This record gives sequence, C-alpha cells and structure tokens, in this order.
Amino acid sequence: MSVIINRKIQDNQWSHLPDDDPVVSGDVTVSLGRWIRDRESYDGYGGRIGVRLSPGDALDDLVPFVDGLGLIALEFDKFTEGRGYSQAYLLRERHGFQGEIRALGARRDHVMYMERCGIDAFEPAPQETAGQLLGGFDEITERYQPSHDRIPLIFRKRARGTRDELDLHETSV
Amino acid sequence: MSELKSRMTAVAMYQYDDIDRSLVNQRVAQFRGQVDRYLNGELTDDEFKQLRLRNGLYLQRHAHMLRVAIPYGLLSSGQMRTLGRISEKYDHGYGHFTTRQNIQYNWPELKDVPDILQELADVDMHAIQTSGNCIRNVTSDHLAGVAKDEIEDPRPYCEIIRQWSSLHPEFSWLPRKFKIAVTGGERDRAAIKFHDIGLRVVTDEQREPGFEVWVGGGMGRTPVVGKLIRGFLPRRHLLSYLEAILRIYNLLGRRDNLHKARIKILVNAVGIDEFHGQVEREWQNMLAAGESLEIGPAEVETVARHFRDDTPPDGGERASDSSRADRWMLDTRFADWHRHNTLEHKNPGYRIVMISLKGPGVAPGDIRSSQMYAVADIAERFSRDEIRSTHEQNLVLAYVKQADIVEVWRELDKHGLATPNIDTLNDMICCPGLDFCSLANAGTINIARQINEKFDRLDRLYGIGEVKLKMSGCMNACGHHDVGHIGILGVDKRGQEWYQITLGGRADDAAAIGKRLGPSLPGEAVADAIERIINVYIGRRKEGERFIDTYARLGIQPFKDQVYVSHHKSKDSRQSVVASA
Repeated sequence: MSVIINRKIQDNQWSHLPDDDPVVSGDVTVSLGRWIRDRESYDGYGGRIGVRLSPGDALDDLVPFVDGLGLIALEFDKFTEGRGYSQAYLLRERHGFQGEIRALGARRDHVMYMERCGIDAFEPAPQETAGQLLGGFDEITERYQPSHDRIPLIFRKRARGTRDELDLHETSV
Repeated sequence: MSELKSRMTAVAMYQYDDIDRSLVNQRVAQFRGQVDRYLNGELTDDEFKQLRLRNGLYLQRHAHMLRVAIPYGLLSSGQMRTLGRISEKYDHGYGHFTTRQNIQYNWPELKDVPDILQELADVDMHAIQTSGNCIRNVTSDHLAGVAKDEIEDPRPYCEIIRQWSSLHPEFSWLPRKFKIAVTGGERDRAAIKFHDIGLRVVTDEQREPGFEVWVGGGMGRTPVVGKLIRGFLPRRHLLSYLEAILRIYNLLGRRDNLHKARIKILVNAVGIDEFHGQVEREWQNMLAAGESLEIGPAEVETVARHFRDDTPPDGGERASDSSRADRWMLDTRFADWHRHNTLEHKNPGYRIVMISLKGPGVAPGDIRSSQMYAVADIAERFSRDEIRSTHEQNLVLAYVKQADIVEVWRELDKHGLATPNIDTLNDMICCPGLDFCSLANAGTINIARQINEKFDRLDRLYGIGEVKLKMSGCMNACGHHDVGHIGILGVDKRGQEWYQITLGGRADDAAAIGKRLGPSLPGEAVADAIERIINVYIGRRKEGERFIDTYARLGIQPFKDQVYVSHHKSKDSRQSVVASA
C-alpha cells in the first residue's frame, strides 16, 4: 500500500498490530493500552515502535514518552470523526512531538484540515488511493486562522497590510 | 485613494477583500467537484451528506433545501436582489427567512446548487457552515448599531468570529452543531443564554472592553439556560477563549448519541465548575505558548471600520421633519403601522422600520421574489442600502429618515409588506413544519393560519398587546417554542399530529424555559386553546401588565383550568377543548 508523507506518495513501512498479534519484526504500531502495559518489553526491539491512538484515548498517558516514539497514528474510523484534529494539534503545539503523526483512514475531503492541525502522514481509507488524497490538499488555499501551520490570524495580516500602506503613504507625502 | 472613497460610500457592512472573495470562490469549486464525485459514485450518500450539509444543503421531504448564510442578519440591497433572482431562477419564486437570520430555499435541484453558490459568491455571500456539526452562522441583535441602549456595536465581533470559525481546521467535525450569539445592548435581543456560547459586550471598571461569556445554553430535546463561565473576558482574548472552549468540547463531547452530543450535555454532565476549570487550564496553556489568536485594537479595527456609522445624528437637512407623518396619523392604517412597526432610533433624525413577514395567509418568514426586489429598492432609496433579518423572521430597515417615513410605508404597503402586527400574537415564530421538513412530527403552517384567523381583528390584537408565540414542528425547536411566552410543539401521537402547549418561556435577560400546560391537543383544538389562554390573561391582567408579567404573577394553574376543564368541576366535558375536539 502507498501512503502520503509530507505530500509525497511513498511505500508504507509500518504495520498496525492488533493487540493479540506478537511483535516480531519490522516497524509496528501498537494500541495505546498495549504500549502502556508492555512498553518496557520493547527495549532492544530491532524495528521502530509507534503508538496508535483511538479517538477517545486521552493523551496524558502518552505525553511523558512522546519523544522516543517513531510514529503516532491517529485512527479516523468514521467520516465524521473529529477528535484526531485536536489530538494532533495538542501533540504538536502543547507536547512538542516532532515525529511523524499519521492519519489512519484518511479521506480526500479531510486531508486539508488534518495537515493544518499537524498531521503529516496519511494512510488512505480502503475506498481511496494515496493519489486521490493528493487532490484534497489545495482545494482551498485561503486561510483565516492559525493552527499548527502557524498561518497568521487574518486580522493580523490585514492590520499589518494597513500599517504598511499607511507607512508608504506617509513616506510618499 | 479611490478605493477609500468607494468604501466610504458603500453600505456600512463588512466588505469582502480579495482573500474573502477567493475563499468563497474556491469553496464553490470544491463543492462542484464533490457533487461530481457523488454523482460518479465516488462518495456514498452518507459521506456526501456531510459535505453538502457543510454547504447548507439538506435533503428534505420533497426536495433539497438550501440554507444561505446571512451573517448576523445583515444584507445589502444588491444581495437581496440576488436572493430574489435565485428564488425565481432555481426555486418557486419565494424564500423563507429563518429564526437564525438566514434564508432557505425549499426547491433547488442538486445539479443547480453549485451554480447557485456561484451566484452567491459573486455578491460576497455563501452557504458555508449553515448546517452540519460545525460552528454555524453567528447571530446577533437585529438592532445592532442603532439601538438606544447599546454599549458597543456587536457586529465587528460577529464578523471576527465568522472569519475565525470559517473552515476551521480543528473544529469542522464537532460532536454536534455549535451556535454562537453576540449582543451589545443592555437588553439582550440575541437570546445569548440559549446558545452554545453567548457573548455580551461589556466593559470593566477600567473601561477596558471585553465580554461576558455564557456557555451550554440551548433549546431542543433538552432545553437549558446557559451558564456564566466568565464574567469578564478582555476583548483581546476573545478568540483564544473560544478556541479553548471548542477544544475541550471537541475532545470530550459525546459522539455516541446524537441527542446527547451538544455542549450543554457535557457542561451539565461534568458540572459548570469542572468545565470552567478545564477550559481555563487549556486557555492558560494557550496564553503561555504566546497567543497567536490575540486581537489588539489594530486587528479589531480592520473589521470595525466597515461598520462605522458616518451618518449625521440628525439625519441631515430636514431629516427629522415629521410634519408629514403627523398629518398622516389621521389615517388609522398608517397610524397603526407607525405605532407597531417602527421603533425609536438612537439618533433623532431616524426611525427603525420593521417589515412584518407575518401577513395573513403567509407562512411566517416567507417572502416572494417581487417583495425581495421591492425591499431592496426601498432600502436603497431610504435606508442606506441596508436590510437586516431578525430571529423573529421579520426584516428591518434601520436608517429611515423621519421625513421619509410616510413614503416608506406607502411603498411597503403596495407590496403587502406593511402588516402592522409586530410583537403581537400574530407575529409568531414558526418553523416550516411537516409540510417541508423531514424531521417534523406535525404541521405548523396550518396551525399558524388557524391562530391568525382567530385573531384577525387588529383592535383585538392590539388590545392583547405583546405576546411572543413560538411554534416548532418537533422537539428540535427550530421555532424556539421553549422560549415562547406561549410555545407550541408538534408531537407525534400514534401517527397523529398533536400539539403540546407551554407557557412562560422567554429568551430575554430573564431567560426561562416554558412550562408544559398539560396533555397535548389535537390540531383543531389549538387555536381555541390559545384563545382561552388569552382570555384568562385579559380577564385577570392588571393595568399595563404584559401577558408574560401576568403569567409570572399568577402561575400556570388558572390557564390550565380554562384549557382543561376538569371533570369534577364540570359534568359537561364538552366545555373542555380536549373533549370538544
């Protein structure tokens, strides 16, 4: 399967292990519950370990350990699921996580919002391909408000513009 | 410089810049693509539903319904003409103003909707976030900027919230819809305690501007009066505080049950103190990180300057001349209209004109395209090119010079827009009901008509005085029945349409939810029951007492006794409207 990382289509390196599948080899994600229970047993594991967050999972349990994680995957199991946007924002802005945040079950109509909140990798839902997802990023390029993307608040941008205009006006008089 | 000049002559409302215009155009193109993908089978019904809702498009009983945003109810004449043209070209020649100051079309074809949205975008309008589980159109006081009791014009803050919340990356997929209202008056005319977030413009002791913040109010299945979460929020922190509330709600609001997903349920479940604590912690974290959402005077000014009132207080030469109106007072039709449909303006040269959309035989809030054009023309000639819609489903011309008032009345009257019934029993709020809406349990328009017919004499209506009658076809409460002095709720009783009456609701500063009068009534008994309720009031009111005051003094029992004549009091149960129906 192909995924999108930083807007580029790439081969997927990760597998997402159900709780009863053993951790044997390669880069794997495990559920938050399993990771809390077993994390010490992963010391010395040959591949990378990532954690999967369900929409209802609280970040608090994970926060002290985010630096060491290879990936945090957010599950979007429904078209209308919205908690992952806040989870991503908080992981980036509040907890300083700089590794990959991956949306599982991404849809073309969501990736623009997801990316702005700090999600940088996207695994498409079964009905869409990575190529189709790419079409969703730039459908609307005008942005009014900052999120993780640090777009300046629209009123600041305009206020700055007005000041620049005034300065220009004054110097030309 | 020429741009500055044109701005000064433009309507005193927010004027789009290139960014705003580009955004609505991109949104239209995006939706056009989504419609194509749906028709090609790339999107399922359920998926497309979520996308169309966020562009105002519902699928209703007979057809699609398109809800167009009128931000805080403010329109220019040009925009009104476009609304009229759309109703003729794509609909059945009329539109319906809603209780959230928007307009709805009941008959558009799906294939036409992208074109309709483009026509709207061409006049700086859109249907973004008028539906779906996201932050909805911000509503406000329809007398903003012209009310005598105003502390500050709330509309710049409405517009700031509109832009901040439009296509918000984090809050576009909330547990449930989210409604924000802002008032700037001493009297609350925006029902802020019945919104997910209600804001009142206030100043602190140092005269610093800010807001009182209310949270978790709402109507519907679980009507709740909002709770004060912050007595004073400095103005510069408006957006960060809203964002903190939204973030807590987005993460913790219930998503397993549609009926328990509004923020009011979360606030009630954890308690206002705990909710307040969580919001404050989140907010403090945001402030500590450097507040990217801060709005200082320069930022506010980029929006506020659009709303500035540059009219001379006396309206200019001879504006206050009311001699013509005084002579016309001999005409009782004009005098009735002047007394009931016009209000005092903050400036003596002007009056505020209310246009009733509750004429006889018309569904409340409905307006024909010819009337839309007429209102646009009248506003252009006499009221600074500006029209407002109200949450009571009427329109307002806010800047009519005293000297022009007779002419405005004659023009309105010509088009059936001078029904002199503002704030009377017949000025009722009403959702579209079972005739149009697939959620409704019962019809509302037929009941409204029965009540209209029962109280068809103006002298009788005027004798009754102010009564807020509000009716919804189901408990989603689009007709705000919970806060009607008299509320009527359509219910389904074994497949039959029945109606539950409530008394004593109010959306003003003394916010209260109406109390159930008794068992529900069949449709044909509703108008009779209203008449009995009114008769109790007339019989027992004290001098100068409004219906709601008499109710507050007497309680519900006397009204109940008259509507449901109990068996032990009377052997002849036909006296009871229940039995007579």
